[in-house]
Amino acid sequence: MFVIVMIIMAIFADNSIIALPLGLEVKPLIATKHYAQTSFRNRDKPPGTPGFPLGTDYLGRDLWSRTVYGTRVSLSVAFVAATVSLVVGLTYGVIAGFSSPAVDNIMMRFVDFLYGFPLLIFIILLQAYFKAVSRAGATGFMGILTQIDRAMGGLFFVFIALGLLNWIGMARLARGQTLSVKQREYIEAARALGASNLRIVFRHILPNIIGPCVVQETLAIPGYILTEAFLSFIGLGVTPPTPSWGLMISDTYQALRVYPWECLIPGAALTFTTLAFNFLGDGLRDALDPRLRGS
Amino acid sequence: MRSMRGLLLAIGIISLLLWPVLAQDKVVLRRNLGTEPPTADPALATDTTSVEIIEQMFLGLTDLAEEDMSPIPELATSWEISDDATQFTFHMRKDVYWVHCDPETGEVTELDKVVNAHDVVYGVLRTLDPRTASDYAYVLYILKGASDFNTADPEAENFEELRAAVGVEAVDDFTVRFTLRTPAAYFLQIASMWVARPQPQWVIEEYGEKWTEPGNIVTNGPYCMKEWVHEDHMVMVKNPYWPDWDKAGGNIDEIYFTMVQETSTEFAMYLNNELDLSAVPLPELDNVKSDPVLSQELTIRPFPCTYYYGFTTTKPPVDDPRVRRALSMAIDRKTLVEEVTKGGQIPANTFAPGMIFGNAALDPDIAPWALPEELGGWGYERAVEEAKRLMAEAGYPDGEGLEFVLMHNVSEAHARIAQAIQAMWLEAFPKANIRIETQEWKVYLQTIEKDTPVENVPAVWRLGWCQDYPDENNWVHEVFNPVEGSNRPRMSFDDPYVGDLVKRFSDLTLRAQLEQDPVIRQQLYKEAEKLLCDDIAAIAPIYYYTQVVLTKPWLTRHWHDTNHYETWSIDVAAREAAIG
Amino acid sequence: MGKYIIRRFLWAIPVLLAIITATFLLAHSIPGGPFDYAGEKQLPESVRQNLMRKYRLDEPIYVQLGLWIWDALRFDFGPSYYSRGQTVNDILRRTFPISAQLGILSLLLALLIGIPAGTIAAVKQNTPLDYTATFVAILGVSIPNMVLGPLLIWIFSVHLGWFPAARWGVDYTQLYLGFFPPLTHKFWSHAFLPMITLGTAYSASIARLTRASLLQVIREDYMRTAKAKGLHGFRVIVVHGLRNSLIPVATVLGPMFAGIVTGSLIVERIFGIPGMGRYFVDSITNRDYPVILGTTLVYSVLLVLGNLLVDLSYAWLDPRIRYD
Repeated sequence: MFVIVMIIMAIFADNSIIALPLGLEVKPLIATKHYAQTSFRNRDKPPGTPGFPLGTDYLGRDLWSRTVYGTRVSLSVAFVAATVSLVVGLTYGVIAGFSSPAVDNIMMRFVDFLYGFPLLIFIILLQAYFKAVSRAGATGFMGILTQIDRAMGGLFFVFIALGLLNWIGMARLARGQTLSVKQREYIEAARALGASNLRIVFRHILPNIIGPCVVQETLAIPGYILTEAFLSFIGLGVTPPTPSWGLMISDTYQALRVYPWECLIPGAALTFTTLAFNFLGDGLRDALDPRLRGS
Repeated sequence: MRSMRGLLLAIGIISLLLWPVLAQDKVVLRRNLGTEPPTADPALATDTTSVEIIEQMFLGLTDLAEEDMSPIPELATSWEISDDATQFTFHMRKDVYWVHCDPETGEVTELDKVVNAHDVVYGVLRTLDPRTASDYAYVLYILKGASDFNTADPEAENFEELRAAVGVEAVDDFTVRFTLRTPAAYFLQIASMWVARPQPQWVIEEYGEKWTEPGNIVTNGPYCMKEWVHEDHMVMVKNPYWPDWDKAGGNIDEIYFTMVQETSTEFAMYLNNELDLSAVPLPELDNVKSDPVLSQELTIRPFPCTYYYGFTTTKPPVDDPRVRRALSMAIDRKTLVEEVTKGGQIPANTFAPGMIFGNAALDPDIAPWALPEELGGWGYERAVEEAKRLMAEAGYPDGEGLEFVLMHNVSEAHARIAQAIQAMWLEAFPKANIRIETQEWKVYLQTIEKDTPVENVPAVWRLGWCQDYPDENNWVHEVFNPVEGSNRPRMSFDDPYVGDLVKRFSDLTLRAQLEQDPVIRQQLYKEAEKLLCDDIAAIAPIYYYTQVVLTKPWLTRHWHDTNHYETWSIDVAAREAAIG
Repeated sequence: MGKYIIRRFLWAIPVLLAIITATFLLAHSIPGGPFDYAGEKQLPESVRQNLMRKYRLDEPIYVQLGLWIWDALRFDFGPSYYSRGQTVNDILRRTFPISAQLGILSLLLALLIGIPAGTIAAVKQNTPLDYTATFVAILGVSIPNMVLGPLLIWIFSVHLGWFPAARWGVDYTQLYLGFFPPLTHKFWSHAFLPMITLGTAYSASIARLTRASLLQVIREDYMRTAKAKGLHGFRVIVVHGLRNSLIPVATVLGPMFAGIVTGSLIVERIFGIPGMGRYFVDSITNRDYPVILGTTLVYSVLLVLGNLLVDLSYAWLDPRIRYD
């Protein structure tokens, strides 16, 4: 039984693992056209049209290429946001868990405090703010950020917003794990042997808590992808013509009855990617937690 | 033929039999407003949705004719204009009463109050009162003393004096006189606007800002408000005391307005027979046009708005009029309206569309390169040749070295158009470097304002304009006059290329404002349009808007600039038969 | 227990104050103001001055914040700048109940489907039933609302004609006590599709959580004990296992509750439901500061309440947890 779970996991993990190099390195080769290349004579062509394997959208842009490039957007959102949240959350959580109870208390109070914040609203507000400020002839620090953002097709601020949203849960988990590991005998032993705090953290605590944290982060990835799609849907995501799946869907969902492929293809891509990450996360959790294994 | 007659007879008998049943049922029109109207207060409205519901409930001194939007009598039966066109005296009819509608039963009661000149004076002064804080108060600045009153401090001692000094007075109970700051032939159109309509003083004083809620509101138009369930629906019922029902000829007893934002949902409701008319979502247009049933129900009509790209005439490379003209020429307007906007829009060669007084729309004397051959223009092929020549002459052969930013506000529709035009430009000038940038609406408007530092302004930006009142003064003068208008293209008398043309343009629109002879005004405006869109090429007009509407076959409607439901009628039997 | 609740409420006060201040400052720092333009027309400075004075926007920013908080303490959230003549209270009073109805119904649906599905999957772990349930659950999480909603309208409303395409079955004037809808046929027929659209994702994630945590619980000692005592099958799992395994589910329900109740913006937009979801974005676009603050406050209060309820439910779900 365990094997079946592993196989399912492996297949779907593979999918996302294949998607990775595709999205980041190989894709520009796979995409046959540039994502912003328009052609009015060929607008709204169905899949299977010669030259446009998945058809074209309302401006005659190749859907295959746009979807492939969209993979890049979604996956970079997923990985950057996940990395940011993992690094920040883990650091914060481990420091809190490893420090004296007084420091721990203060740090966790701050986390509790943020936990009460309506983060989605803040993301919307922040995105509105970034989008407005970044274009009003910004100078100085904001100007530099704006340059970066522009170079990334409006993705940079999405990363920041998502990262800000998600480190809190990670910090809580990391702290809890650290606290429980801290009491174990081998830490006592290491301490008795005169190991420095830094060594204990890096040699003994981190390796022991990183598993559950990574699993949790993997499970959060579909959420990031969907949040990006949501932001793009309400016009606060990436800048057109950068092809994000969310943007592609929001541009075309009104055309669902007439040109269904324009909406369903990025929709399917979105669904399958989240699906793959969900299976990966579930599988990792099942694999890492011996108690969940089939008997 | 014979069977046809038999059928008609049968229908006649059936409808006679059904008559008592049908007569009891109210004729209800179901229409989607698309959004919650921000207000129903004539002093505060700025948007078309609010104006539409206000139009049903409040009469103006004048109204705009369906065919050409010329001012026609409404509350005023006649008027006199002083020789210098600074005094307008309106004589009002005496048979229009204020009515109140019971929110529970929908029963309309006639109040013992005739709509009179004092109500008009009150309405105008309330709009101008700084405490009302009306956005559109500035439209009335044409009145003598209006601007002083509107900018006064309500605490100031001379506040009442300033109020009394505004150029509006009730000569007697049914005569109202306006005194203007400067002559304005277009004041009759302004008199039709919502900001100049009579308002019920006693109700407003009793209920304050809540006076427009159902139950409180008192109105005088053909319909009155029974229900306003915010964000969900609004019900208006026929005002039987409105004196002109016979003339209007409609049979709608009740209007049920919904407020669904999504056009695709609205369209689905229309297909489900939940609505009698509907807009068409852009992607559905191809289908609707080819559908045997829906194509019969589709109407495309010109609508008095214009979509255009503006040039910042002080910012290289578009400081050179040759570059601006070349860019304007290289927009394939015909392909754009057929393949991108798809709503039957009309390629534009001037700023003001047809129906606006003084317009020169589609006149091939002006920017003929913008018009397709069938409209007497050059057609795109010839235009793009000329564009390439001009661009080379200006020092950018094939667009080499041409680099600028095209900006629009965030919106899917604008993005489509911008991407299409960018593609056209790159095809004509392949070596050019054209970037599209977008901004959120409020920020965008600030960015393209004429006092933004020139390094932050895009070279090319998009805007649209719709009429406040149907006169060229509201168009070329108010929007572009370098002295008195918004002048976002930053035209200047000191322009090294076209300074003297700008001066001429400015003089023309000022002169036309004062001129009273309609024929001469027309000529002045035509020349001004030619300067604006062709010689100076401060803007590239792109298309004139259209209304794209699906109407169920049982609905007979009219096409006023704002819907006049009192003239619409529904064939109830046909609707019953179709819905089943 | 009572002490605990009081402490939690006291703790909520600085949180809410901080949220309001942060929202206020952030909203005001977005360039552009509420009264710069009417449509595309720039308003003359004089008109703008009148508007600014009327809405006290000419005061220093900290005074404005203070005034708003002072009014908010008396449950007066100020006027809307965009919908003239409407107050934020008006807007909340009529949109919140509708969003809440949609949210609560979807959440109930999600629980009703999610918990049994998760339980079955866990009990029948590694059987085809489990795989199917898990797969469907994950599929449910993965389909975005903006795809599911239009799809359902198209199939069930336009093609099959089973349900109305849009809108909500009641309006705020027909509610009992300003909140409870009359449960008429009309209400349900309008509620069905949006409920499914919104509930699917939540039921799927609840199912997954239930399955995972039930699998853990099943292997705990006391379950073995129960089995050893001769209790069997479903009964054991439901009576002893499920209750404990619902703790992680309860944990996510708090934020989920606040999110779902205050409007799922997308579902409301697609189905044309007059809820408060659209105000989260529209108020920002319009720079309608009081509406931004009002909606944020409602959301935050719900979040606080949701988290409190969750913590209290721990005690019920697992008697070993005590608050003092």
